[in-house]
Amino acid sequence: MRGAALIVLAWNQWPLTQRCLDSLLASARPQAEVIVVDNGSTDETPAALAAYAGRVRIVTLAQNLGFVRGMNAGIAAARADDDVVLLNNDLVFTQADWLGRLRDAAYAEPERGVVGCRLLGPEAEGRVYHVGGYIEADDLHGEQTEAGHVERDVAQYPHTRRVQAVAFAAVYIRRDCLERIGGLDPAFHSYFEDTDYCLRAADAGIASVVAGDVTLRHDQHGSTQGDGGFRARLFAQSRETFSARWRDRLRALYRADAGWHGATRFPYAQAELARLFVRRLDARGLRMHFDRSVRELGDTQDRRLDLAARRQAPSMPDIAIACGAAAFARARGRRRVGLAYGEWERVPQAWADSAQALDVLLVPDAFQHDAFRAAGVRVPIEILPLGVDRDYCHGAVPAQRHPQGHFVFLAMAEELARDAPDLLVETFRRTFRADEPVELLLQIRPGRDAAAIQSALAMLPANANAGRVRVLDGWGLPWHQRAQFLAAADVYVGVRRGGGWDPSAAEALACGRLLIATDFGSPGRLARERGLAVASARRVAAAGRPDVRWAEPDRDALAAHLRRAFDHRATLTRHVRANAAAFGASHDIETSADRFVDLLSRDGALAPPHAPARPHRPGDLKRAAGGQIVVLGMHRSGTSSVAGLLARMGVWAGSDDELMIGPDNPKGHYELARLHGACLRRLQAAAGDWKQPPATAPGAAVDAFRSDMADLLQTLEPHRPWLIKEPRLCLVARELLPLLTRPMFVHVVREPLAVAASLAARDGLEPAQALALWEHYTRAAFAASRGWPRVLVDYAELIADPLGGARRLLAELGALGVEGLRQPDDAIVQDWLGPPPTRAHALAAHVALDSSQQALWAAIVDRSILDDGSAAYAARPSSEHAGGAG
Amino acid sequence: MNAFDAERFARLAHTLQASPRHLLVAAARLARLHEHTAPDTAQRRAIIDDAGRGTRAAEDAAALLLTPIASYAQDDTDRALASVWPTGG
Repeated sequence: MRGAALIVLAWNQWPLTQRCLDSLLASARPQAEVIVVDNGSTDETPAALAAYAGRVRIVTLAQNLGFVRGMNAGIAAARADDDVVLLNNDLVFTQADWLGRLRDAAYAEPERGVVGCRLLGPEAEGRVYHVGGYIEADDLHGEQTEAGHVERDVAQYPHTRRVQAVAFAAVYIRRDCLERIGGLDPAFHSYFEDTDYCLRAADAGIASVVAGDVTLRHDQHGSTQGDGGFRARLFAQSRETFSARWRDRLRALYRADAGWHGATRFPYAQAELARLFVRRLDARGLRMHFDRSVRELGDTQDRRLDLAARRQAPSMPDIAIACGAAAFARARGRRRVGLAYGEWERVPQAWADSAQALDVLLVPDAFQHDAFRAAGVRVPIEILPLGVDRDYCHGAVPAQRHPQGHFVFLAMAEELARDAPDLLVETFRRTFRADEPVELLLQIRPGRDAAAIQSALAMLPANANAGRVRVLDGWGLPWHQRAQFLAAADVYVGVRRGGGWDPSAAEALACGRLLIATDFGSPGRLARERGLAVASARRVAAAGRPDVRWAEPDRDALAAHLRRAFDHRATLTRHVRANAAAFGASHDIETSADRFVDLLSRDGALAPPHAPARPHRPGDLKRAAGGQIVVLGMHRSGTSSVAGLLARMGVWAGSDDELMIGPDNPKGHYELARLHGACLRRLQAAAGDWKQPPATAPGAAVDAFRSDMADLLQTLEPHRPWLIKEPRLCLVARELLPLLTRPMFVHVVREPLAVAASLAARDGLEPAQALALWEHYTRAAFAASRGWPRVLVDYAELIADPLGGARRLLAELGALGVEGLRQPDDAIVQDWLGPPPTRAHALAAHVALDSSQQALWAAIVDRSILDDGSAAYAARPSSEHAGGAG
Repeated sequence: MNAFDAERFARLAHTLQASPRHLLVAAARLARLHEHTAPDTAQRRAIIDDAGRGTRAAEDAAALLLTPIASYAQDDTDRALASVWPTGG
């Protein structure tokens, strides 16, 4: 059975090592062995380590071999099948279930091999030093976060995601990855070895990911402090080695030079576009350079933007992206692309005229498309939906809440005429009383209109009994905390005259906050579909632009919606919070960035993309299956028959007193009672059962299941080849992968209508429910075994031809290297599998598979589902609720 | 200091015939003085003129203020909210 070797590398600095070990040993470490590599320490480390000898294995090196060789010594000392976890001795294990969650992340996909985690620094308030990073090709400066800055911990990057590289201060490496590409490269003493390893893994099709649900504390460089420049020398040497190997290859990943003309501060929404897209386009193979289209200070809070601003722009770049109409004239490139939105139902004529110089104009939605067309723009206009940065904007963002628990409306004002903060404040004050537990928080964003907004608010009549309004003025909040600010409120109010794209509207929804916006322009669509849309009283000429019009919000309608949101706050906030994750997933900025690149790629503006390596599959490794057989199949699919057949081939299924026999299968289930119990508990712990499979599970439920199964598997291991079979395993087999050394999967399938008929007869399930369950189980089962050795057995074919089917199965298992099997006598096979049942259940004639189920069954019938890249692995289209909040 | 304030500050310094850096030093001294009594025009002019001979600490403080904001410190959402929602509501 597979475990994990937790390898702590120590070199002097015993207090650090002691703190690390004590916290590590206090955390959950199922199926794990702690190995401490003493890298030639000369302080009290060797003597002090001896006190831990009963709890950790100590590998003593005669001298300091450096990080790479020291860790490689630990890897060499690990048990042959174990995964390894490389750990710096300046870590503190602040999360008890860190190992379980890293295991989950490591085995969630077959191509994953290297898993890092979020690393915080030692500061009490929590600062994020590492969330997976990248290395830029020019200066070979490795960044530990996407923004390249140390940020306050605001629960950013909560999802597990693929990255270019992770820090090897704490990294989980799967055994099949080690077998594929080996250990760390001793060409590096310390530094750059982690990025080198991740890039080598990528060359082998192995993904590096960061587990967003694991956070540890890491005292950066605490283990090599006070070294008299030793570290600096190592860094320089390793950088040179890395450069020789990777610099040219990293540069070759760029497909084009692209200039971004825009702002990084104000206007705020335009600045957000630069922040969202410049680094994402750069990461997608566009060598970005940045040209400020307005006067502003050169501090972007984003290293990739800084880098883009420092780069020398070619005289004629492949692509020029002008963000905002004011920048259209600056777009100089072989392909000139505009990205803009207006505030009006028709953009000004000057905008339309300047847009004619573009090759294509990108706008966020149909409203903007029509507004540019109405002004006479003739160049092609493409809609680029602008998504939400889910790494920062999600429902679990920590936020300070009102100290008295008041219900809080939040609005932001940047331009007086456009944002109409005076209209909102006046309406709010007359809608609520001062003694109601509600208030409006208005942020005046630093900018040209800040003083004018203050003046306009000061002129509003005061009323001591009116609803409470608080103004936050003069604060320039860090961009990475924007979701924290939104989440401090219950409602985001984007009731404005202008109809331009407002990033806060979608971000508020992704954070699970209610949206109230004018039923006009870009935010109007979101408010209609997902929030409360405030009708506009009329169209009015825009301030300072008599030729274009925007919408005057209806004050009474606004008052009604404010009141409604407050009076129905429990229902409405529950609704938006329940839909936050689905909204974020369906409005993902990463999808927008992919679409952006796709649009830029038109007309050959980009060189063909670098062909990625074929995704790694554990089953590709040249080694035989190890006699651990997992039988997967939906209830009533014939798994018992196949398991019984395997038992007759010599596969150990358990002793008779351990196996269950039930009235629905009197010949035996070949199902271990302990396994059955473990599966039941696992589903129950996630608030589900076999008929209502839970979509997610608490980490504790997964850990408990894996612990149960580890105990069970230990009893089976002496009997290889062995099998485990339980239909519920379809749902949870993936969670077993960290325990199995060289498993193989036997999928048992049966025509879904027959399964549904049998479930109807046994359990009284409605056909639609039965078919939905069949699809769910089947998709989950094949997804779990993707990339691993597997065979498929069609129950109907097996029953129709027991002897032929048995011979085929035996041959397939033998070809995969399962040893210890025998061909059972024909009579035994016939006796077990035949004769066919005389009583077949049937469903009503009108019952049929839907298109998704048909596609899945077709992929099974033609065996294409065994192709790891099969479309059958795409998730069934979700039926996310798309209705308005009320 | 954001871009807009920096621009306004530069204009004010130009009007007062001082450098932005010296104006910052002077502002700090004026603020301290103003705790007791409002300086007259001549006093203000003298302080501004004297700012060019500021101490090292004053020069350092001015340099800090003239640094782009995020390079040395950022506003913080928690502190911003605490300013409008002090403990006790």
